[in-house]
Amino acid sequence: MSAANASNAALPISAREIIPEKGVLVAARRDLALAMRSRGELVQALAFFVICVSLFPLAIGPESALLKRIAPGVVWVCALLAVLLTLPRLFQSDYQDGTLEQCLLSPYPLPAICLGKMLSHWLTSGLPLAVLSPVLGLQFGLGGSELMVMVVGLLLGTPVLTAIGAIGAALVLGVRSGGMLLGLLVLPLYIPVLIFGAGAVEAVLAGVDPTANLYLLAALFLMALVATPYATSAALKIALD
Amino acid sequence: MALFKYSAPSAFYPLAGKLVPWFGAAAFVLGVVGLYIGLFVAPEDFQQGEVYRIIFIHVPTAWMGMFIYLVMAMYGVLALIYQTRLSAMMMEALAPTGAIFTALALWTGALWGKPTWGTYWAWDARMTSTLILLFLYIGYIALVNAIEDKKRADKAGALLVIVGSVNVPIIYFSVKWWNTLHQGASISVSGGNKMAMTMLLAMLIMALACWMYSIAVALCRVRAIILERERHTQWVREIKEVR
Amino acid sequence: MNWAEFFAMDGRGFYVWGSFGAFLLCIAIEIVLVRLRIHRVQADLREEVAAASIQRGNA
Repeated sequence: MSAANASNAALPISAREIIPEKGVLVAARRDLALAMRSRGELVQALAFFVICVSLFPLAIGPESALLKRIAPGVVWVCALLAVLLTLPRLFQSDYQDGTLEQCLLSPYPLPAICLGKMLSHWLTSGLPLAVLSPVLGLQFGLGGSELMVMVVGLLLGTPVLTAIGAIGAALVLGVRSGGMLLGLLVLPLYIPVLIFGAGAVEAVLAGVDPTANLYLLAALFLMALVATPYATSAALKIALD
Repeated sequence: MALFKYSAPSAFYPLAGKLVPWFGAAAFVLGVVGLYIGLFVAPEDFQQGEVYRIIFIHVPTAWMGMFIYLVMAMYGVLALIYQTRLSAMMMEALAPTGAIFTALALWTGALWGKPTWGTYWAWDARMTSTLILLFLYIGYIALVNAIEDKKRADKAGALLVIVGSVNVPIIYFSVKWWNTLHQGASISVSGGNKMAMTMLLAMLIMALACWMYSIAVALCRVRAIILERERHTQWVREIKEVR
Repeated sequence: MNWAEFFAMDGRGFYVWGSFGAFLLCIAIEIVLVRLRIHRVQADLREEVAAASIQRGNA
């Protein structure tokens, strides 16, 4: 009930001075406000990430050389899965209470609204993961420079995860067993991010310069930034048709 | 434009029916010739011996797996821009064939890998990207089957394949990058440096056969899809198979 | 060349025939499934049309 009020308050449909780009901020601010009300979900995703990462030493054994060797891959795969689990949050509730249909009618362009929603989603999923990751890296015996590169990589890579995931989340809106399907659609598309992200940390471990990997991540980030809002809005229009 | 006439399912259904036997026959003849040349005429490879003959299946299926995904992406663009239902139906008809060819490429790659380099599976760049391509096919098929509203399923599938096809080069590049980073799994799949003329010929003929086969089977499947979707329309009740 | 030698493929017959066999098997299965699919729809439609014409005859 209160969520619906908040959405009405945050999406002013006034005829005067509508700046299309402001849609990004308006949507982001509204989604952030909603996310702050259900902080539990945010904490759950983080807890999932931590638990998932901690399972690996238990499964493989506490041998420190091996753990250090697999740390980049483990952290990245778990980050992928944690982000995947939060993706339904992007559009699900807005789809159910009809807010999404209003977004189509809003004076702001739909891609701008999508970008705003992605921004809010990243601030409440990818960013906390990146901030938390050094602690987990320490568990695996990673050192300062490795942790540094891992955080930078996650900061560059998790927005791409959100952006590609948004397309998938929009495509499966309202579909039965959508969560499983979402993984099927999105995980193969996450592979480049995984390779460059984990590769950056592995490069440091191997004593090689990681900047090439980070630049490639940055390139993916820019491409996703430009293209995915449009693809997501197309997917939303298909879902709401 | 005369071609646009056939973008209506009611006009395409009989046309496809007329084309299927021709493409089927072409596939059969080319397949027999290709297998004959590949198994009996082409000489033994001086390094790998007889086992190299797997490439006459492996390479054409791998090509078709990639090619069909590309064709699906083009149909996807048509489906989204021109809103032609037939394009989306063609995508749906092509996907299983593409997935089968991709799976066959992986299977034959594994069976070729064991005797030539001692392992069924290596995380080689090409094999890995083929595996990912199979995942993309599976994702498309799962999505289209999960959405009950056909109109929405068509468009969602089209968008997914377009997004996927944009990603394919990126995925391929990243996997190659990953492969060069982790030395040790790099394997040359090119089948020796100099291929005998007859080997190349057999491979090309087999590729053509697979191509013709894909067209025939996709046209046949799209006929079934057209009837399934249009079963409540009048023209379907007047076709000769039903009367 | 004799046939036994041909089928042996240097003793690697399993790999070669495993590939060619899987290829032919998959294609055969696909053809059968597609034909079944279209024949089933056509049969369903025939039934529907027949039922409709009987109803029309009664009316």
